[in-house]
Amino acid sequence: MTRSTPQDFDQRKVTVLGRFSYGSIPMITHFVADAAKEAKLDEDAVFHCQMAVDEACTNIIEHAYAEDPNGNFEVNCWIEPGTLTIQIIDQGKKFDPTLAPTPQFSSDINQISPGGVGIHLIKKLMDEVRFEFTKQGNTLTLVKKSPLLIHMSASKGIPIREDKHGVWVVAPRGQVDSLVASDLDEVLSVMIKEGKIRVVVDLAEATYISSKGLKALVSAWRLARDSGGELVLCDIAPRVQSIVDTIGLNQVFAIYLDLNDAIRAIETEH
Amino acid sequence: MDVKVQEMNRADLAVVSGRVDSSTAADLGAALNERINNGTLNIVIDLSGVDYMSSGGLRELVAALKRVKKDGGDVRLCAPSARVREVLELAGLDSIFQIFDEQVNAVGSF
Repeated sequence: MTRSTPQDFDQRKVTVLGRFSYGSIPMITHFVADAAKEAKLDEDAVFHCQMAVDEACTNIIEHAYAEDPNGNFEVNCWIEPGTLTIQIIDQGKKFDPTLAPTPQFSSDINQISPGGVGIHLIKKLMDEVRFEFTKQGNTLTLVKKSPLLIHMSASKGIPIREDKHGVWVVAPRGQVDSLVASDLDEVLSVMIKEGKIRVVVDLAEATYISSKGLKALVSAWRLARDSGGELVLCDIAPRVQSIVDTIGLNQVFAIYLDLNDAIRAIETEH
Repeated sequence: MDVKVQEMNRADLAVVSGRVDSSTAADLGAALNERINNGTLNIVIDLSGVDYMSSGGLRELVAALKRVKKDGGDVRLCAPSARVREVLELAGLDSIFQIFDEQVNAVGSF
């Protein structure tokens, strides 16, 4: 296996073309699963993408191509770390699945109407679902984001965001004691394993950092390096800076005065 | 996909295995309909061997449930894998089907 360089993690497009039939769905779902794995989605998210695409293709065959079941399809995937965007285009009659009624499952048996289960599942499985009717035909766009990272960053209260393309900013707040340190360790390692390997840790709002916190930063720095990326620090408060200096970590990390300097540096170097 | 139906005392047991997707769901529907046409009211569907279930399969389960409920029967599910259970829940079917962890409990519930 070749190691990915940061450049490989820029957005990349892959396409598969063919004639639609139930028989071609497995080929399409395999194609999408490979793209999802490349986008570093976890096993559950890969399955969700496959299932959503299966449902979408079934809808197209049963509705858009109801009269002519063997129309063309085009499936495009845009791969970027932690996010997969899937576009399915068909030339059948106009069919907007997002307008399907919500299925009703009530205890009254007469009220049960299972229509629209497919699109309902697609909406549940994916983070974004969009439909457009263009001159190319019906265009359904599905987006799946790494649920692990979204969930983790939110639940642990450690804000992360993508700043410039491919540069991620992690900004722990307050006292980075041993409890926060293990959260920080987890968030950073998931990020980097997902391919978000250009990382700025913004310590502007960190008032204290424990030895465990420093250890988390060092191991994330090493992981980023090993993955072909970089991790730098910025905006360290004097008190935190003195801890970093005492341990000699100023020899390990590139430390910048402010966030913009850090982002500019990591952008140009990697 | 494969369906094996076995007559028990108070219910039919349908053991389903393989992939229940858009191309195979109709076969599941046909197997269940055959039993219902023969007068079966209570059905336990063992999903332990099902590794994938799409909305096509879910529709067949719901269709069978609607048919037997009209005459006072029920369709109960058992032993879905974590993936299949997730799909049942996402679709909201866990509100209309009783789902048992073990086949013996599902059969015994009738």
